[in-house]
Amino acid sequence: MTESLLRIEDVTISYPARGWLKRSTPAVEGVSLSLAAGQTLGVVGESGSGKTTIARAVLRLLDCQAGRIWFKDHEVTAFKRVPKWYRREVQAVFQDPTASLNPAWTIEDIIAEPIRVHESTDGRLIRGRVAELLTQVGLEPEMAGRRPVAFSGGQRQRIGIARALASRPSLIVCDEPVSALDVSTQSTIVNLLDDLQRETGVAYLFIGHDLALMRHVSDRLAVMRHGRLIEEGPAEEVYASPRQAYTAELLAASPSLDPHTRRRALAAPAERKTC
Amino acid sequence: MTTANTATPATPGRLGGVARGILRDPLALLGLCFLTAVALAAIAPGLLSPHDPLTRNLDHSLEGPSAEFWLGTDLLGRDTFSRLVHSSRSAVLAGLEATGIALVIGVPIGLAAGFFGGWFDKVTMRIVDAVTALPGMIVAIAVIAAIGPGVVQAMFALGLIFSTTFVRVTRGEVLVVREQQYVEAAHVTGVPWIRILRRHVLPNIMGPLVVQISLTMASALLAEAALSFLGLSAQPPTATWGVMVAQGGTLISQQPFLIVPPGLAIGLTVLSLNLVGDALLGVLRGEPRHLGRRLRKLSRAGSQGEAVGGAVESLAVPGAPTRLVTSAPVPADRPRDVVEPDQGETPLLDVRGLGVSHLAETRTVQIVEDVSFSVQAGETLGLVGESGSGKTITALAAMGLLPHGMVTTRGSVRLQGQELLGLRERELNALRGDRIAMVFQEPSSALNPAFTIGNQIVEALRTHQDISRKEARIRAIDLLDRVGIREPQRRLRDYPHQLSGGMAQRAMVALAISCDPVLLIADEPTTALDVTLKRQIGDLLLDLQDESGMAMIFVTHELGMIAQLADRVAVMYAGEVVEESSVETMFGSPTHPYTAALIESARQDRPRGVELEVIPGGVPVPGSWPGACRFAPRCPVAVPACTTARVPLTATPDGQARCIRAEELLQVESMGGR
Repeated sequence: MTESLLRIEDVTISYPARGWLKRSTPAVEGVSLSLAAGQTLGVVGESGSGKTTIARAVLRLLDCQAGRIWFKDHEVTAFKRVPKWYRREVQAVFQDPTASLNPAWTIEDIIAEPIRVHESTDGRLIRGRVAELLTQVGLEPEMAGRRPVAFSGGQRQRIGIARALASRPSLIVCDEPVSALDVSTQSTIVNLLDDLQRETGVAYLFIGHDLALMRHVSDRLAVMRHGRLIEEGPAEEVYASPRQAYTAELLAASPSLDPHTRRRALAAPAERKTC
Repeated sequence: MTTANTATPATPGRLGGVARGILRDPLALLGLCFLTAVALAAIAPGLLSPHDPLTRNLDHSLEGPSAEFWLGTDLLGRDTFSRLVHSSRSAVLAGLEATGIALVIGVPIGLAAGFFGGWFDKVTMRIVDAVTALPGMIVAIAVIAAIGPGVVQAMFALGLIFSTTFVRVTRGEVLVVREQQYVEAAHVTGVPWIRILRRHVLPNIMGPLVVQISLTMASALLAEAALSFLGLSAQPPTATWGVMVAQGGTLISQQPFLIVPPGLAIGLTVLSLNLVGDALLGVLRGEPRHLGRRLRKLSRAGSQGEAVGGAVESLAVPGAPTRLVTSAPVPADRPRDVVEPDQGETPLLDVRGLGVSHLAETRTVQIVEDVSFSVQAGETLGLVGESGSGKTITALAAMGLLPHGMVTTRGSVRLQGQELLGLRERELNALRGDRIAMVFQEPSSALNPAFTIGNQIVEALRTHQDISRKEARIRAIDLLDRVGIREPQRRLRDYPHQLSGGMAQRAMVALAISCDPVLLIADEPTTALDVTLKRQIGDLLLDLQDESGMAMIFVTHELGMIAQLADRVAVMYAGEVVEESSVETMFGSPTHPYTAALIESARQDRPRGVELEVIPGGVPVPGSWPGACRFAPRCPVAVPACTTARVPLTATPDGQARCIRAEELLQVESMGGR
């Protein structure tokens, strides 16, 4: 990979210590990652592994104590104030589709906000773009006047994705975008994200905890634990032949859909019958 | 909660709903009428007053109420009613001035303090604390001593003091809104902070502000009256209600009635403001007001003699489920063995034809319909379904823990032969946490943050068992040890927030099994956890089941967990059970097309580039279920006959399924066609 869109170099991030005399422990320590344009970098780990901290640092919602983050040829960690172009180029989809949409706003207002900030405040142009975006994420443009409460969890996440796409970004940080959804809905959202990547060439920094799903969404996969990078490589390689014992452990933890692999014996089917 | 849009609190954006909510409250309506009259009097006093308030008529000095002078006259023979009407303007203006000043000073400071935080917040809040510590009236009197008496001065002083309340309210609300993810999303979008404040934060704090305004108006009126009475505010001949009370006070021996009208005017206005403010608060918090009666009526009419009855009014509120273990004390000598568990014959829990409805504002919506299943001792039943399938509501109904506005309309729930529907809240409390226990998805919201883990377990134990505090503590240590919490003695003293997600879930499990329940209902206990913790909690539940032989209902949408944990599975879709079978059959050869599609959509470990299987469309929401087969519109093998009549559950080789093509599909499958 020569030309990278996002480059994370030896980054260390600590949260401020709570209370006196307590030393802050770093949430992320010496992590380096890189993501090419139009590709997906998956970051997988347990809760507390620091994967979300990385996402927040890229979005500049957190500051790094050491190391650098580069986007194209700009040093993100050096921004005193985050420039408007960076906000346009780097967008986010959040874990909780309900909390990330203002309940008092209509869908049109929510999706229009990035357009108003970055593109134009012309009412007709905005309405057109919103309709286009809604169609793109598989919703009816006629729904634009409704509020988030009228939508299901999966639909709300589609709205969140439409908002992220509105400013035509080249990178979307997806912080566990499907973890809060039903399994069947997860698959539709993942397919949607795949389609959108193919159509628009957007890159994803994809945070998740389920290695099985991460294998599917990622080109390259990074495994994190206790704030450190354990292993990184092409997704299929990491999934099929993990180099680290921890990665294998994580793989094994994913609950299998085959009841024959479980630890408790299955009852013989004919043994009992209910009603 | 699985079912969305129940008892939605009015969001600040929907002022129409707020207005309707207030109009439905008779007391608030009365208050609103009175306030309108006062406002009218203030704007156009000439319209309401029968006399000139300043015309002296010494022939009629100090008269009581009469046909000509409705509320009597004062020392100079002036009509009291007319004076009251004319002086309402100064009362309203005084209230507006104080409230306006408080608002203008308090809100921006509160916004800035809450939004930016840091040193500005710290300094501001210390000043606010200091001002709040001073008695308001004394400060007002001091300010008046410095700048001289008068309504304007007095109200300015009061406004300054009241502004601290607005700073507090605004800052508190901003702190809540600031943490919302949608505000973070706006930051990421690059929305300038001033626009975030104006568009996201301010509309959200409007509700509490409106309430605070009405209450501040009331306080200002009272304070103005008090200051006038002391001669520090309005000076005669300017008449305010306070001045009128003061004048009446000096003449109380000659005409005791004189003091009554202005006193009543002040009292009623303050009362009205408080009533309206109260109702506003209620509406904004989403407190339903007249639901109790409708609930009772429905549960009486709709059931087959198994109404939920008295329990309806005190239905549990979602988010406060701790009630089930820490509720009212129960006599210790309660008979423990109502019916002996009968191995094999009677199931431990038997649910038959369960129906649950939600009472929305205008109509009653069926949420769960004709759900039947049973669980044997030592067995785990998986209750699977997507959001909106009614699986959580079914589990809650079995425990008599339905959220407000929902009611069991029919069916029966028998635990060891004992009917649970229709039990009184007290009887249910005796059962819950003792013979049936529950584990929730979010331990952080199910554990009480104000008590230590130890406290909560000890409390649960002592509620249901006649043991000493010391014995209970020993049992609690043992329980924490059993659920795999290290250093249990130390952890006992921890508060829920001190535990990590996995630890908190273990503590929740410890609490649930504290009284050796015969049935444990686990509602999405692993959904919020990452894969490693999912596995650990699953293993823990299996271990506990092996030890105690309790039955378990595992409610989840995670098919992997079902495959690993459940013995039998009931699949729910749109409020009904569509398939019931052993776990092996479900994953090996599912009968219902929905079950098959659900399992396919869960196979997510496909290589990059291979599209994941999905079920087209979405789960229909309660109230818009298709009449016949509810899955037919999304079903890949639906035929016209699927949309003509309601589909009953029919027997399959290993359970039952709700599909008219079940037999046909099974045959195709056995020939290897699927």
